Amino acid sequence: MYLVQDRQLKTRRLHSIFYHLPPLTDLFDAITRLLWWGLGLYTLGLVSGFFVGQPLPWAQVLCAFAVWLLYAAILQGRHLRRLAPKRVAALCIVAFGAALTLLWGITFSAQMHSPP
Amino acid sequence: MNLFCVGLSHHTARVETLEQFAGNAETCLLLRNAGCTEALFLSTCNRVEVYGAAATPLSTEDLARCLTRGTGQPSSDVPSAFYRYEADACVHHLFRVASGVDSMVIGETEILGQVKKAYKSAQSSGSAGPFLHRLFQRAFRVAKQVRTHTAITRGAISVGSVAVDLAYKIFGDLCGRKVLVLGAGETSERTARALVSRGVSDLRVSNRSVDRARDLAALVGGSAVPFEDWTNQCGEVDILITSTSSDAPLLYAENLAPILRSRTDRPLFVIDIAVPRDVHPDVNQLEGVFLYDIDSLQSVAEQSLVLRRRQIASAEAIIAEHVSDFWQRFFGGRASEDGCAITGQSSLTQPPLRVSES
Repeated sequence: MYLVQDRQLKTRRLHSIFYHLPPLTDLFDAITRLLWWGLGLYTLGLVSGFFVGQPLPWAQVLCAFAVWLLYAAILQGRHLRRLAPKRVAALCIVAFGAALTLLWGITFSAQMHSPP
Repeated sequence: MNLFCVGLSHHTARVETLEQFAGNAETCLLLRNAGCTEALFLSTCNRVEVYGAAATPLSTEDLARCLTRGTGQPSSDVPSAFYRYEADACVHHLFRVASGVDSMVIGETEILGQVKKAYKSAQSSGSAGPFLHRLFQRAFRVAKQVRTHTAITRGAISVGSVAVDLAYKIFGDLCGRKVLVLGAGETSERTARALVSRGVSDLRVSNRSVDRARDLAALVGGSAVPFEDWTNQCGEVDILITSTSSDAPLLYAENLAPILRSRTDRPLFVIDIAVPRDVHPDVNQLEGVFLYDIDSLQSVAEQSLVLRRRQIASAEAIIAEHVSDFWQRFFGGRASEDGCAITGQSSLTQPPLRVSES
C-alpha cells in the first residue's frame, strides 16, 4: 500500500484507490509497528524451534537465521534513519517473500523425507 | 395545482444575463402577486430560479418579468435563455440542482447550502407552503444520499484545496507540521491560509523584501525568516510553498539532496506555484520529495473532475428513483382524492421549454 501510494504521489496520477488509502506517514508508522511485531514473533518461533521441533538440516536453520537477520537489518536501518521509508517498504516485501519461500521449503522438505 | 420551475443558469445564460435577474427581497412578493400560491426564489452565482406552485398555469414570460421588474429592468427585455420545467421534470431538476449534478463544478457542495438558505428564506417570509415544503425536504434527503452513496464530491478541484488534500495524503494530520512559504504572493498566501485552517501552526515566511515577509507572516500567524537562510530551512520543514518572481529556478536537486540526508524518514512536500517555476523538475526524482507545480496541481484537479463525472450515472439513478417515489407518494395519490391534480406538461425525457417555445 505504501509503495502504491508513493508511486501515485510521485507520478501525480491519482486513481480512485488513492482516495481509499491512508496517508503515507500513517502507512509508514504501521509498517514499523508491524516489523517490530513480526521480528518478535519470528524470534519466538526460532527459539521455540530448538526446544519443541524436530531436528532440521543445517541449511534450513541457516536460512531461517538469514531471514531473521534481514528483518533485524531493516529495523536497524529504520532506527538509525539510514533507510528511506520507500526502501523499508520494498525490503519488507523482499523479507516477507523470503520468509514464505523458507516456510514452503521446510514444508516441502518435511513431506519429502516423511515415511509413506 | 401546477408545480413548476422557471429560471436560467450557466447552461443557458452568460453571467451578464444572470446578473440582470438576480432578484431582490421583493421577488417572492411579486411572484405571489403574479398568481403563485407558493414561491421560492433561488439565486446563486451560476443560476437564478423560481420554484413555485400555482392554481392556474402561469406563463414563463410573466414569471421572468417578475424577476426583471425586481431588478429594475424593462419588462420587455426577457431573454430566451429562460428554461421551464413542470411537474415531475421540476422535481427531477431540483433534485439534480441540490445534489450538485447540475452545477458548473460537478459535485460541489456549496449549492446545497444555498438551496437550504433559499428554502429557509421562503419559509420565514411565508411564501413556501406544503407543496414546496415536501419537495425541498425530499431534495435535501436526495442530496445527502447522493453525497453518501456516490463519490461525486470526492477530490479537490481548486489549486489551493488540491495542495491541502495532497498534504493530508502525505502527512495525515497537519497539526505540528512545519511550513515554509517562499515568496509573499497572493496564491502562496491563500495556500498558506488553507494549511493553517487545517491545523498547521509552525509557518515561516521568507521573501527578498523582509518587510513583505513580515507582513505576510503577521497575516497568516507565522514568523519571518531571512531570505539567505531559506535553503537551510528545507532540512526542518515538512511543506515548502514557493511563489517568487525569479526568472530561473532557485532550488535544484543538487542543492537539496545534501540537506535531505539528515531527514531520510520524513517526506518533503514541495508546492511550486510560481511561473516560471522556482523548483527544478529534477527535485521530484529525490527519494521522499513530492514536487507539485501549478500544472500538476491543475492536472490533479482535472483528474478529480473526471472521477466526479464518472459518478453522474450513479447519482442520476438515485435521483430518478426518488423522483418516481416522491411523485407517486405525495402527488400521484392526492390527485384523485381532493382534485388537487398536479399536471405534468413536460416529462423527464423532454428538454426544457424556452420562453420562445412556450
